[in-house]
Amino acid sequence: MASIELGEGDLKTNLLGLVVALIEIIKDILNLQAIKRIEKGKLNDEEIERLGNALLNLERVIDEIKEEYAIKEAVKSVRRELDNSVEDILGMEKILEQIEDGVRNS
Amino acid sequence: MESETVEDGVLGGRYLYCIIDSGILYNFSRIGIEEEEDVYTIPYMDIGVVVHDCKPAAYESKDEKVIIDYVQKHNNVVDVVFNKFGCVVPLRFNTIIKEKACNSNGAIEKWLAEQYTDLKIKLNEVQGKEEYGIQVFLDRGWCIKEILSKNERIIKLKEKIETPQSSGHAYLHKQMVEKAIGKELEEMSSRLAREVYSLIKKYSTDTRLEKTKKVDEKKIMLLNVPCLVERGNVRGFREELEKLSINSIYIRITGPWAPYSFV
Repeated sequence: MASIELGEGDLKTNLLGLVVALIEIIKDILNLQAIKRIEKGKLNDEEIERLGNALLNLERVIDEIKEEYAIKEAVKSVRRELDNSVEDILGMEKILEQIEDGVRNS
Repeated sequence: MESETVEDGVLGGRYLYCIIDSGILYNFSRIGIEEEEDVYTIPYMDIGVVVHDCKPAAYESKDEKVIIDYVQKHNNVVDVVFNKFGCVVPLRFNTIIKEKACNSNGAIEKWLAEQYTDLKIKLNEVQGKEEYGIQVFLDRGWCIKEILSKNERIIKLKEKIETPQSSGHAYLHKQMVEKAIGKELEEMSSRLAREVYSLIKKYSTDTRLEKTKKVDEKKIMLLNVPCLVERGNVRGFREELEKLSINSIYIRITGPWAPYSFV
């Protein structure tokens, strides 16, 4: 089973790093959803502006928290661990298969 | 294989390093895990096994460094044997066979007799071949420059964010550029990985696609491939790979190794 190593440092820092990393991921998902809607022409100018400002403000707050609590590295580390876990679960095998298939079909 | 007559602490075990394609008696001296014990061959028909005498117990430790040292010594012996004989089937770390007496090789000969056909097949499969490790890296910065100068859609998007606009629009357009660059980078990586892997396959009798690792912000690891190459093809293989090491692609070749990944 995949697990996230929090390391042996300050538990509070690591825990806050984990929480902020999760909020950052949610913000990234919201960004992607916003882009999809813009590309499909589902948002008017006013909605784009409002959504863009909301996401920009969220990003600023996240950056401020990271700065204030000195957790930039902790957040980065959690995200790296999460990326690796996700790759372990569903990414790599698919990517490797695609390379094999691509070579077979070329 | 259990022993009933060997007492605790007596060297009634044989630690096995690898199989060789020769029924020769040979002593490599004290190059193995046990500093006081010779590493030598036990022949059986036209093959042999490289061993040292040990207590009939696995090499264990709670200290990870000690285990790493054991494994490195194990691999070092396999490499020495590989350089001497040119054809080996490496065995796993901690492959130990118990003998009924210190000076007996009965159990090991029985094991060799049982495994002989399989071992001969494996030896034939790796005969005249060497393992190489190929790692292919892509320069992220170079690729992004390429994308930003050649991809029409991204150029247009970038122009959009460079013109003055309200903060909400500017933020989302910037996100759109970043997403488009990411997607393009992914496609570029995937295409290059396929091209290089095709070349590796062309020169190899066997390959293993291993998981790639995160390197740093500047580099993307495209491929991590151990491959088995006929000795006669190694020069051409290296030359072809070196030709690819231009601009954005960096290829690291390690080896020759004994065929650890293919037996």
